[in-house]
Amino acid sequence: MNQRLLQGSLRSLVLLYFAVLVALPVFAVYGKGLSLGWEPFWQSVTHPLALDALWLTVQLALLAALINAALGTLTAWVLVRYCFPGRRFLNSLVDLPFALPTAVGGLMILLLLGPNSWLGQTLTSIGWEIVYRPPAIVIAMVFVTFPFVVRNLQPLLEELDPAEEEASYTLGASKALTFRRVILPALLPGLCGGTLLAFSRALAEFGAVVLIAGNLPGQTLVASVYIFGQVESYNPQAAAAVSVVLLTLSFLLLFTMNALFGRRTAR
Amino acid sequence: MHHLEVRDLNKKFGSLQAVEGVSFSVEQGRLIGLLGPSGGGKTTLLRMLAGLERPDGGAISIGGRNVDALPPQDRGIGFVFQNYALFKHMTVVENIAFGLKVKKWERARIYQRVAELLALTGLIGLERRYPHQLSGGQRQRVAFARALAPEPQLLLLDEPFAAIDAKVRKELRTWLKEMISRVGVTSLFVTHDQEEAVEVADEILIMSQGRLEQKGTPWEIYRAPKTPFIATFIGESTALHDLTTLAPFAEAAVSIANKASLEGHDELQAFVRPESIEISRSHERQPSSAALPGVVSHVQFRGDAWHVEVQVGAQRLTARRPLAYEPLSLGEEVSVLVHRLYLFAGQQSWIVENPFLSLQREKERIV
Amino acid sequence: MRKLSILLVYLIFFVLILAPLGQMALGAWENGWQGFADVFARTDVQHAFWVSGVIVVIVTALNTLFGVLLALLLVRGTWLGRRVRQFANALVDLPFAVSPVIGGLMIILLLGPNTALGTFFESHGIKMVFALPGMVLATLFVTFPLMVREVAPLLQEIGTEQEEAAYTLGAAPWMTFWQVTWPSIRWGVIYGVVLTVARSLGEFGAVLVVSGNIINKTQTATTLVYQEVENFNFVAANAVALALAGLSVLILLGLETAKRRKEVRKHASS
Ligand SMILES: Nc1ncnc2c1ncn2[C@@H]1O[C@H](COP(=O)(O)OP(=O)(O)OP(=O)(O)O)[C@@H](O)[C@H]1O
Ligand SMILES: [Mg+2]
Repeated sequence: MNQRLLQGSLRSLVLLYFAVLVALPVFAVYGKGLSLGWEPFWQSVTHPLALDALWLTVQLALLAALINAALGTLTAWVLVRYCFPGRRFLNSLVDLPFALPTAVGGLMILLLLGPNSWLGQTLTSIGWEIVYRPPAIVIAMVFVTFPFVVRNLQPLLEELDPAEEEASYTLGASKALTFRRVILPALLPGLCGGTLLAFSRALAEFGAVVLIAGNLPGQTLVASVYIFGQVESYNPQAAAAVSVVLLTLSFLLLFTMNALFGRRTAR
Repeated sequence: MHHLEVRDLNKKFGSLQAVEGVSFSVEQGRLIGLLGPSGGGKTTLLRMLAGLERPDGGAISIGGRNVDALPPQDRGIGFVFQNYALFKHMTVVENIAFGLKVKKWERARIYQRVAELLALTGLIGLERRYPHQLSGGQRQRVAFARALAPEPQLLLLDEPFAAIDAKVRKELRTWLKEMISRVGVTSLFVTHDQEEAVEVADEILIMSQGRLEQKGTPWEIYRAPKTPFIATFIGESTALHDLTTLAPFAEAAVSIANKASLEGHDELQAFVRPESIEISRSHERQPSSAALPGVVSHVQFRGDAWHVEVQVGAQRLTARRPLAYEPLSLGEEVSVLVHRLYLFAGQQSWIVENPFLSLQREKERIV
Repeated sequence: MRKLSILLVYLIFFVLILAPLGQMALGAWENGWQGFADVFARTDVQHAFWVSGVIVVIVTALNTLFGVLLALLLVRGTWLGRRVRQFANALVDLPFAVSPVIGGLMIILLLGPNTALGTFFESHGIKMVFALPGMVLATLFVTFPLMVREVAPLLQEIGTEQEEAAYTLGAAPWMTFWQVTWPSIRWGVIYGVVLTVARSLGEFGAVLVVSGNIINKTQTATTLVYQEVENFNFVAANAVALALAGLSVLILLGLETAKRRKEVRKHASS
């Protein structure tokens, strides 16, 4: 009897923890964003600065996700298929962007490409300014989300039956055709899943971006930095309104992903 | 002109000689069974024929054309993989049509060929299914149809029935034999199962430890195994330790042993098949100098015959006794008639018939 | 083709990871060993690391405990009903989709000075926002899915057979958990712990918003880096960031080990 009571209260405690920690804050944001009614919400969201920030974020995140799709596919392929010196080292290194504090990641990119570095100066001298401009933001996003595509593709590549490829060769298909028709379709779920994850993470990224994004509306002011600015200037309602849009977008992505690919979400 | 010719094929994996000096040839339209113990090099040989593995030495020609320099794409072969290797994300039809699309056939022609193969392999109604929605036997047939679709000159099958349960397997192998003879394509299939090879193949190649041990029709191989290994691998055989207990063969054995030792092989091995031993009660048969006295030490019912073990001197022999005869009992004294045995020394082999038996037959003929 | 792609991958890693890391390391040593030591002699730097450490310890402990329990509940809690568990399962991933800044904003909106809950805690002398409790909460929110997502699949994979076998042999639930379930999920939990440590140490956005970044009070190692960069004090920023990067590399090694052990277990059991 006593044990059942204990078990029951433990279960309730866990569920309560879950509800309070995860569900409640989400409701708080939606509540605050819509607290003054539809009209002010709409005004906050359609404020030119907010709109620009949201649109810019979506564009840059999409670009970063696509770049990662290409780089990640190549990396996963080489890491799984080829044996070469340094392979294990590189394979461990893939996770570094996950393990590294994002602010440190941002600082690293700032230092590498910034006005004080050799590379930054060289690029500036040929007319390419990167830091405090959109390219730097994309680079930061690519850095932070690099592991997603690689880690989503690797298990699929390992599971791939080499006999399937060989079957394709014996049927007369060239290497390129085999890659396109036999290998790529098998990788597609992982590729899409990884790219979507990278996209949603890039949408949300703050730490790596805040140090290298300027505050130029429509050019370098991304949504998360905009929200931060609104919080800093004691405008929680506007912050919440933009957050609602960004959150809804992220949730839609998350649920699409779960619906499409089942349980393949990573960190 | 042989359709497939293989000359002195060699392949090493590191220090392991997986295939060693294999040469053989196959005539157009034959179905060849490639048989041998696990790790014998069968898959390696097949993969070299397909161009999936590069030989260290030797030559392969298919249809009179040397293919050594050709990649698998251009060899005109069909390959059925052990676990089928169907394209998981393609339907049955897409799988079968793949090789045709690669060859850039016209749509109408592809359509017609696929329909033909679906009918031939009995897959009608399953066109739109994906591999994971098929049974093992159906997958096997899709793999077969896919390999056949581009009209290969040579069909290679690596343990096509390995992943299928025993009953379906029997049906499928008769089906396969029929199918191949109807299409008329020269085929090589790997199997572990000697019964399967004997039943299906026109000819059998036996490989062991990378070497080709013997090639011939199933009957030839059964009748005249070239090595002790084959004598035990195809059909059953009992090894004889001491030939002197088999008095009727002693003389022949000594003369062969002498011959062998002259040529430098002193080790003489002898085998006898259960089917060539006749066991009878004393009243069932006239006493003869061809037979030996023995004592029954074990009797077991085996469905189609009695499986009998008899002790003859120091040698225990295994024999069959038709069910039509009365069962024997343990400890009973019987007469054991050995019709023939196989002797091996080095590369040579002899089949020795029971001399008294032939003598006796001659006598009967004269009388 | 092969050579080229390997070369390309090396290039990707160099440009994306190794070069920035190297540049930062060089920057940190600009004033030599002395400059490095000077930075870590500052009390505000030490305090920031202390705050980070406290958060890591509390968050890791709580997240591990509740994460494992929730995973057990989601996978084994048949009494909850399939639909409820599916819904809860989807909710677990929510924090993945939330920008850290928004995560911090949530805590402010919920517990800030002008909210009902905020004034309630304030009246009892507990300061939530711009203080440690709020920072811990924000970090807990952000790290929440890590442990559940590590352990739940493992529980699913090992199935209930072994546990049922233990029950039929008369083992009590506690004993079954420690003797049968725990050994199978142990390396998964350790992996989750390392992930949680990494994320709570590195968390920046949520903590920045909630903490107010008050020097010597609520400043953490990562928000300190931010502050130093904003002040153009790059030597200090580099030194602290380099220390954090060093910790990340240690974490990475931990992840590798845990992953290998986890896989060994998986292969051994299958
Ligand atoms: N890619 C490879 N690398 C190294 N060794 C190999 C490779 N492929 C085969 N071998 C070795 O070569 C030998 C012959 O292998 P093969 O697969 O041809 O045997 P098999 O006759 O097909 O056996 P089974 O009946 O078990 O399939 C084996 O000892 C095997 O371990
Ligand atoms: Mg094989």
